[in-house]
Amino acid sequence: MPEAEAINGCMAGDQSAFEALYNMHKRRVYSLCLRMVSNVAEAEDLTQEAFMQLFRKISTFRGESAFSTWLHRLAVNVVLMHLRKKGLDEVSLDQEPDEDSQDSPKKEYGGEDLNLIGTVDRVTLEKAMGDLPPGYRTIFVLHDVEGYEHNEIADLIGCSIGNSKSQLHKARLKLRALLLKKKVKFEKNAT
Amino acid sequence: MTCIEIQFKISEWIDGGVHQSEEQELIGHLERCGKCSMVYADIKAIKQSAGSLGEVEPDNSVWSGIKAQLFAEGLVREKKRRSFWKQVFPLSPSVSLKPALTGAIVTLILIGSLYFFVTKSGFRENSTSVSPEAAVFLELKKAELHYQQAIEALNEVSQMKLQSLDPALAQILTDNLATMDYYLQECREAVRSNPENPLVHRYLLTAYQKKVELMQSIVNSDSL
Repeated sequence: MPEAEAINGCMAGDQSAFEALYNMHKRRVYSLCLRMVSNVAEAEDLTQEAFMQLFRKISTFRGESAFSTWLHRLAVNVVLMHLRKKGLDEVSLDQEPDEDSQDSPKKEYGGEDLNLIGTVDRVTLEKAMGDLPPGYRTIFVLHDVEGYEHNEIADLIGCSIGNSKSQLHKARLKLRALLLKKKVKFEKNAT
Repeated sequence: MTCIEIQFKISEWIDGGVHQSEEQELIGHLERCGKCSMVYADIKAIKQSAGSLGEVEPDNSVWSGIKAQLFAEGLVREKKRRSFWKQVFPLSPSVSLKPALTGAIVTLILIGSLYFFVTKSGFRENSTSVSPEAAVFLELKKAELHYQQAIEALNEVSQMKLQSLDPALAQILTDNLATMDYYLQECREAVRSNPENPLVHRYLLTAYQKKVELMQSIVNSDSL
């Protein structure tokens, strides 16, 4: 069933049309939820909620943007709302990468300079993203994984563009620290 | 600029958000500073890897949950099967044409059924592999199928018509239809018990015919 036909059917309350839309977009929505909350059960609940919202709100879709863009934004809002309810602000402005924390490879490994040698394994990256504080994770996923621009993130989260840029940079540094830590740990176990 | 300031600019630079003048300063700094150079390479690698992460398939239970919630909230209806009318006439004739078309269809079916019975003996003569009893039974089944199709075709329209009639009259007609259904059921049972008896076959077809006639008169209820 073509997407336009599925959208019209879904607007008319047709379940098979809705199922077709679900099958077209389930992976993208679920991946977004999973990466933003880093928990399978929560991601499944949020995917369900996002599609329920889709069904309830599809009559407001006017076709001004692509349907996938509209749905994706709806899913992002569902996740952000969930994080707010959980009391995890998307971005804490006070959150700084703690240079003295155990995540910092420099302190932990005697000031030795480390780097990722220009490559990052995807599985390791997914795991490290899960270890990011929720605020950093949100900005990082939206920008670097999902490709949102800073002005869109600022709009979604309700912060300034400058703040979005600053938080992204901190998130990347934190992620780098986590990846380096994992790398060192892996190399230690290997020897 | 300090290394921390440079590193912040590195992030912006990777995202394509620095001016050309700043870019020269950054390039110059990276050539001199190994630490910032490594940060640049790592952030670039992280961004590249993050942008190419694949999509993940959700468990089937997610759709089951959605479906259950849709039904629980009464938000969906099953896709409606296209009615006989829509299948036969995709361009949907106006409601006023339906009785006329119904009449035409029923007439064709009756003529067809009559033809089957009139030519029954001829069929028997030509047939070499089917016994006469089996041939009669086959003809009966065909006729029965035609009547059933006619009833299905008339059902939707007659139900609509019943709703628009005087409730007392509608009730009488509904009762009559129920009586005919009962009679049909009895005849079917009789055919099952006595498949060789031509009389019970005739009774069954008569029952079908009477039901079709009643439904037809309901559809053309102006003449009632």
